[in-house]
Amino acid sequence: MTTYLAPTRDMRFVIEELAGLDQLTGLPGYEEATPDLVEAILDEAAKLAGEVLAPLNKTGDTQGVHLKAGDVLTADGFKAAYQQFVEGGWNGISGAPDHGGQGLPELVLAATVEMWNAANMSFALCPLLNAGATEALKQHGSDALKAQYLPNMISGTWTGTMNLTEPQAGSDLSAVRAKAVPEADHYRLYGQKIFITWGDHDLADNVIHLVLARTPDAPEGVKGISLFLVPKFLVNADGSLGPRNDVHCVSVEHKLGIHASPTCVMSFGDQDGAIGYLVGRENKGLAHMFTMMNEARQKVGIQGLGIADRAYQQARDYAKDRIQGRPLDQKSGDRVAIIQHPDVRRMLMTMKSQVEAMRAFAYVMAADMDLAHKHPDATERQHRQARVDLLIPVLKGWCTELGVEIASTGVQVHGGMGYVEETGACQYLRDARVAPIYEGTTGIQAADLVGRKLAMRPGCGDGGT
Amino acid sequence: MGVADSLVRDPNAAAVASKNYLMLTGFVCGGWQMARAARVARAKLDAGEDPGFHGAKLATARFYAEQILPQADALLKIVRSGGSSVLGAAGGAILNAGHEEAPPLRF
Repeated sequence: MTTYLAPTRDMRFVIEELAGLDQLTGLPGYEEATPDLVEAILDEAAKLAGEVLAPLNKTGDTQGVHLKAGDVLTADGFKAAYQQFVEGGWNGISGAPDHGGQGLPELVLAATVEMWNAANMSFALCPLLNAGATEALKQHGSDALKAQYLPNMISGTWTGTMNLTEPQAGSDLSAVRAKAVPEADHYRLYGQKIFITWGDHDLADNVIHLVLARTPDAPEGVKGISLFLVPKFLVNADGSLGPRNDVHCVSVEHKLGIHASPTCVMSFGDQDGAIGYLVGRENKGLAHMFTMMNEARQKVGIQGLGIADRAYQQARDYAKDRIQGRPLDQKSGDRVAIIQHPDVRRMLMTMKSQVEAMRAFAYVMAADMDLAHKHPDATERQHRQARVDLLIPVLKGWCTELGVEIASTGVQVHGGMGYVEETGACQYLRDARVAPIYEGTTGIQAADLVGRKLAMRPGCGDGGT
Repeated sequence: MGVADSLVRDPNAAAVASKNYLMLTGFVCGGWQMARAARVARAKLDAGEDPGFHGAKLATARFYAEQILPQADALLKIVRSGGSSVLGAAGGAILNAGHEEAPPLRF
């Protein structure tokens, strides 16, 4: 496996020239996001990604994670790397300043998310899920819950998860069965959740689960689902950690890729019920969770971009070194590096140009998200939000499908050596393969785009022309 | 009537076409941004700014336009063909063939 060099010059070109950093710097709260500061942040992030996270990518793939006496243990080096990640404040770079975040634009966050995922997709999933959980809590949690949990989640001392899927409730969340029984100022949760990314681990002091469950008198279907916060360790009034809650990882999945990212089966309430707190309103859980899902879908789209760039960098390096054959129009003379061959060049350019197209699309959308939050004009905010809502499924679906295709092309550039694990090209393909599946499959994204977003356009549907 | 409107009218046909429609939208959005990048790069080149970098941006945009973006045309053609080859008896015939001993799937 080769190193990862974050393409900061390319990133700055998109940030400054296409996504319009200058229109964000004028917005309240973003005054400090000047080109100089952004350049400094990208350079720091590039160091962490290239020097700390990327070298652990293969270790993580080889070692995977282990469940030992109820605790998930991560691969060598991950804990120290995460400590550096927390100390650098990377979890909270776009987090709310009143809860300890740095309040930088989503646009800057997008570039860092690309780097973490290119360097080490398994590792990057931990902050990715944390960011979604943090956002859902920030938007829907009570002031008391926010005060107790947000600062540590924004700093990353604790990490958030999303617990949606159950064995019988995958893409169809109306089938969720987990129960939440009210008791005094909290609830007791019972049930099993599967495919919980970073559901348990040894990188942080606490894991904060956001869980979909039903109260006893809830209506059937999606209208009876509520959202709960269930901490791994209960939190005392003074903020210190209390006793272990009744939520446990009971197994971890063996997967095609992202071996270093624990995919947990979580069991709630095996003993006396897991203590949980309602987030937002009863029976509005799915709507609240969508906050988190939109956030996560945008970032999973960026995963597709990141892994594609990593695959490109490795394939390009290999093609420059690998000597094989002569130019088509020369029968004798020196053999040449395969990058000289037109078909190899075409493959590499196919990878590179699509990475650039995805990056521009993703970053422009991130800037739209910033404008949708902060633009002083309400009409402009609505216009930007409408564009984000329409295109998030495209970003998620298109970039993750291309991520797989480009990682596969990366293997192809290597020829036989690409199929050998030692080379490292296969890992990107194996890791990339999950991205069109989780956070809503490409089919779900396509249904969202065509069935919901296009149908909601003004003048569309019910016989309009 | 545009492609989007016809998709909204028939949910089953839309479900057949929607993945290709999503990819089509992605390639077009990619082309949209590459065209913007090309315009910026052209202006920077004319101003003599970092010709190596901006020349590469222009070349990348051209490659995308010629070697990648035309996939959108093919996807549009597929989307326009509707859903009838998947839906109904035609689709059933494809998936039942070779499994005559099993109860036939009906769509």
